[in-house]
Amino acid sequence: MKKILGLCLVAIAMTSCSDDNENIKDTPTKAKFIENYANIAAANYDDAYTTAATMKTKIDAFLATPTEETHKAAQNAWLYARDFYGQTEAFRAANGPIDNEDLGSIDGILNTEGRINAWPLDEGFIDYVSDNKGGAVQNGLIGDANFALTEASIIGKNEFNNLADNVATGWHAIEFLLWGQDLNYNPTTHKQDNYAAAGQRGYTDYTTANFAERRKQYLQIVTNLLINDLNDLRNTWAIGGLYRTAFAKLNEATALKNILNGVGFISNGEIALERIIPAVEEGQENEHSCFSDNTNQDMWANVNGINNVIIGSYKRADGTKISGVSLTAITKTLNIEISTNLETKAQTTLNKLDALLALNKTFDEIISQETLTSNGPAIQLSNALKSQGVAIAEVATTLGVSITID
Amino acid sequence: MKNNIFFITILFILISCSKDDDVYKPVEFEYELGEENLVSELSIEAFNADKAFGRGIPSLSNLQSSFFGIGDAMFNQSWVSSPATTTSRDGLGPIFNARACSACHLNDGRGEPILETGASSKGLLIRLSTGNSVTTGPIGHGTYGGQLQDRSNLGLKKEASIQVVFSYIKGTYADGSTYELRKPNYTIINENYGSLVGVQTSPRIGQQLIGLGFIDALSEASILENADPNDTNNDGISGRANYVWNVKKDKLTIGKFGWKSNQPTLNQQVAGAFNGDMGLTTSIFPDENCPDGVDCSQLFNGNNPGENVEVPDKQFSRIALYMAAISVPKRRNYKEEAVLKGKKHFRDLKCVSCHVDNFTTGANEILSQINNIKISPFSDFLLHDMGDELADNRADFLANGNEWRTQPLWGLGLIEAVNGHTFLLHDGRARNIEEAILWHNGEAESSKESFKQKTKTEREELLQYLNSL
Repeated sequence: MKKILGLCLVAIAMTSCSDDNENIKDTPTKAKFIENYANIAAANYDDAYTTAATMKTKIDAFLATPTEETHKAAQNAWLYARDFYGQTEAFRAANGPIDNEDLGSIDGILNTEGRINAWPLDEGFIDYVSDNKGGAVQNGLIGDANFALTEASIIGKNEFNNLADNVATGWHAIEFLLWGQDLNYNPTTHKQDNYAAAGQRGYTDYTTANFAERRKQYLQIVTNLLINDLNDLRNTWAIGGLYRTAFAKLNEATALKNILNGVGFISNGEIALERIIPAVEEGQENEHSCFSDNTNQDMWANVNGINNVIIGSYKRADGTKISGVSLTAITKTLNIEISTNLETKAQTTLNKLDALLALNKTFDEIISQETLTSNGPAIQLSNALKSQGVAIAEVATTLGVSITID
Repeated sequence: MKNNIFFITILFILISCSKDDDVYKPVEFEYELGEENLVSELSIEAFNADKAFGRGIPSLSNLQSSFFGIGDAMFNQSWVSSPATTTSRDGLGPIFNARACSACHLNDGRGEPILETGASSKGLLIRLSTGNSVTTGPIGHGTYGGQLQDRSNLGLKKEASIQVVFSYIKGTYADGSTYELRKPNYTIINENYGSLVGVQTSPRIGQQLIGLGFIDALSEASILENADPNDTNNDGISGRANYVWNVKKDKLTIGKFGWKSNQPTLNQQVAGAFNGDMGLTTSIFPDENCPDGVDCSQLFNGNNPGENVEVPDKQFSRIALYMAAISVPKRRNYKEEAVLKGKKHFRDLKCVSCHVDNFTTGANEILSQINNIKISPFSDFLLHDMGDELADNRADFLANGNEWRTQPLWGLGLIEAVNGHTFLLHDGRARNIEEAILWHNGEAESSKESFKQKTKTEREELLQYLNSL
């Protein structure tokens, strides 16, 4: 929470200074909206890379000298970088480079989403896990001395052949290696009800513990891989980049359809339906960033990433702002009612997010107190995201394209 | 051809009587109102390839759509080995074929055959048996059971690997153009739990998952209406129902799902896939699939406290709703002249005798919205002798080694968009729809031969029609 407030303050300061630079008086056209989307995507992926690169330097420092301090610094850098990657999820499901499987059609397609953010993680496939009786089980790749730890061998194990397979890389693998399992263990009651605590992995896992050297190697490899994948995404979206160039050549209807299909689906299908609702129904640990207890912040990043496209504005890591023609502005030129509806639904979504964050509880605790029909804060956020998805689909129809939001 | 001439004569008479004979168009070329909606008003638009097969019927309630989302997540996400923090996704294995439903049915679509030895499967598995009982079904191998699991949890050996060798068969159309069919020969190698020599095998591809709730809702009587086991109408096509073990009802009931109609209900089909393909237990199939010589009671399983199966009934009901709710995409290009001509060829060639396009659903216990809906699955869900070349020579309840269930053709033309391939038939041998037609033998022999007599243009029109489904 502190971090968000900090960002907001910086943003307010920056916004006050930069109002004059905004082209809000531009006549809203579809072409300008599409161009602004590309500017936002490029800036967001650039931030995702640079903040993750900072994380890498912290992880490198931790691996060079594992101490409580360097460990904590690496964890904090993960949490910070995650905010920027989380916002880029709005650019998924948009026929873009991140998750398009059709390798032949457009230059710059990477299809690395599975390597970057696949979930749930088969944590026992990577390293030791609790046996729920106070001991540990080591069946993972780190404990298998016969498995040569190389980038190629680990990629080979991750979502092999593009199947939803063993998840061995990406944000959540690094998260697991930094935090360990979040068992919510309460040492006083011996119950699993201590939601305030995240994963309790100690830095000694990288010094004196079994397989410490192999654990170091593994963390180093998956961190480097993530950085390389994010760098590829940044480069392909940058001006002159392969995908940016291909995107600029798309006809207007195709570009609009891709953009809106992305935010519509991510809002309704992915976040509301696939991430929040199953977590509410299926238990406390069916949450995205379960090891670090960062799922609230994932929600913040995902909701804001979608909102960035709707309002046509993105706040960069350095505090500057990218803004231009918004989705609501181009819709308003055709149908004020439909546009206002999206504005309302987007605002409601932000309000429900704020209400969830204001609880000051971890996501696992929040969902432990909810059911699908109890209308708690997580379900209310899910419902708001669903309605926002429907509103985006209506906007798409108004703009002359059809999208799929479930 | 006789029928055709007769028909044209009638048309001619009719046209002569009509006044505006300059707008003459044979009636069978015409678009029939609503024919693009294969499940009536519950059909969906296929805007995006990756979601063309994965969208629910439009009338789900808010709570149902939540269940749909939960089922969708369960379908797409990988299951993990126990113990794990993701308590609702653990219990995988000990031996398995895939970690997620979506691994064999990517985007709710169709699996792929193995194209080279050692390649990881994207939806092909091999069934095993040492015999068959018409009342209890195929008799599994003593050690390997009824299905070969080619993957395992860390620390355990997978059962074996799959080897493939292709042979090629050349053929000629009446117009002199030639074609080539590719026949795979799958064998099992590197058996880790003893030799499988002499065991009956049947390779099978994961099918696309559209419209399953509608099939589940078909009454036994509506399926039997098309059955003609003794070919009393002498059209060369018999068609008989399979009766298979229904675990919940504890008796034999009509089979509807699977390549040999060997599963009676959607729930049992899903529970069977959980158990055989992923090593997950349910109340329908509560026994862990355990390799020989391994004491599975000593391994971790995914049972949560107070539960005795890895996918408890409540969780199972969500994926069951998801499966039942997946709708069928509307047809495309249904008014194009070539497609309409292709529709006529489809009828003339008697394809429609087995690929039946006219059913009305009965009652569905999961989703009442799909009760009493007119549907066009293009299947009779009956068993037909498809000839020796396609045979797996492995009996399955009443199905013999030559018999296969008619495949529903709805969604056929979207497989390429959804899955990036056009491999068809039970083992994925056909590389496209044309090859699939050419593999038809047995009861379909005369239809296939008539197809080979058609001109290239006519053959193309038929393919365009099939691709529009």
